[in-house]
Amino acid sequence: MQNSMATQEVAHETSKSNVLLTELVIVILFFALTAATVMQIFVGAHQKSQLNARITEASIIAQDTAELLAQETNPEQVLLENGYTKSAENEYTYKTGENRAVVRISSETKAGGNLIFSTITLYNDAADRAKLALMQSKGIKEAQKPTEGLVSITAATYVPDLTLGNAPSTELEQVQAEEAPVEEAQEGVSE
Amino acid sequence: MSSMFVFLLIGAYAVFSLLLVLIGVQAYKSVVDTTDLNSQVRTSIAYVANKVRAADGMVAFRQEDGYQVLNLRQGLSSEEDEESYETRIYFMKDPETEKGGLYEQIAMSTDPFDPELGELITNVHAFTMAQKGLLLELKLTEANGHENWLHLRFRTERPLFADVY
Repeated sequence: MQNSMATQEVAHETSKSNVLLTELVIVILFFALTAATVMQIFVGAHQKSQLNARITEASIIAQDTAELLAQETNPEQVLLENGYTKSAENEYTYKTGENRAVVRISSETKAGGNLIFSTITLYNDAADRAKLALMQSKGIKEAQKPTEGLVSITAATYVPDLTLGNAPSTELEQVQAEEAPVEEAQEGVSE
Repeated sequence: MSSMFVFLLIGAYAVFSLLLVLIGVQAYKSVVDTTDLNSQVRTSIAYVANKVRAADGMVAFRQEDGYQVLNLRQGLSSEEDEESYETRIYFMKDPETEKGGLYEQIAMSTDPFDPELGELITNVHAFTMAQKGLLLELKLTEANGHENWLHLRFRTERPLFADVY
């Protein structure tokens, strides 16, 4: 009789321990799920802040290049003088750290002159790698190196063709053009 | 034995919770630091660039008492003895805190330059300016030594401000 009561008590205690252990395992399971979600969010936030920093740096480099090319009639020479190398026909590349600036030059002939377009595109190797890894992790089978840059701006310069007898482009030339016929008339009178 | 296992399980739960909190703190700190640095770089360069572009033709770059000062004159007068307001932008290190910052001061053009009277725009590690012909070169150096450059081209070929270029 006493043995059976002792056996029943041990069984009851074991049952309580089992319930407790099961509850703890379930708690730890939920904790693990929550931790996995939170870790994903932390990593995403960190990557976004790094991407913002890279975009800021890229936009400063793009602005810098655009300012160097502004009002320049020979952009190729300016680029070569500022560390760019010719990578293809009408394409110049500059690499600094993980940033790569690519300038593509094109021109359009207009009635009064030429319009020179310089398209400045900034690529960042670290951002490209991160994007590629993200695409691969999502199982995108056609994942390849991203071709769009972080930042892209276009600088345009108008080069008037003065041989066509167009209107002068600066105020000084306009004043000189107006004074020229007066001087010729005065020379005619004196003769 | 089973109670030992329960204690171990609870202990493991506590350790992993602590690890998660520590990782979260590190991640948050890194995000805040990167954001702070990013805004310093963007704000300082964008602010100076926009001020220079808005005052094109009325910009002078001077060295005064060891400070590189960018003077942006407001108004049409370019004569030295004519009174007009000018905005002075310069970099200065606070002698007490040793923290560098970009400062701005609005004063009469005839007033002497006093760096203590400026207002802080933003904290930066180092900021230098140089003029090369029609180009104004801005260089921002971060605390880790990384440099950010920006060239600004003056659009006005005949400046109103006599001592520019």
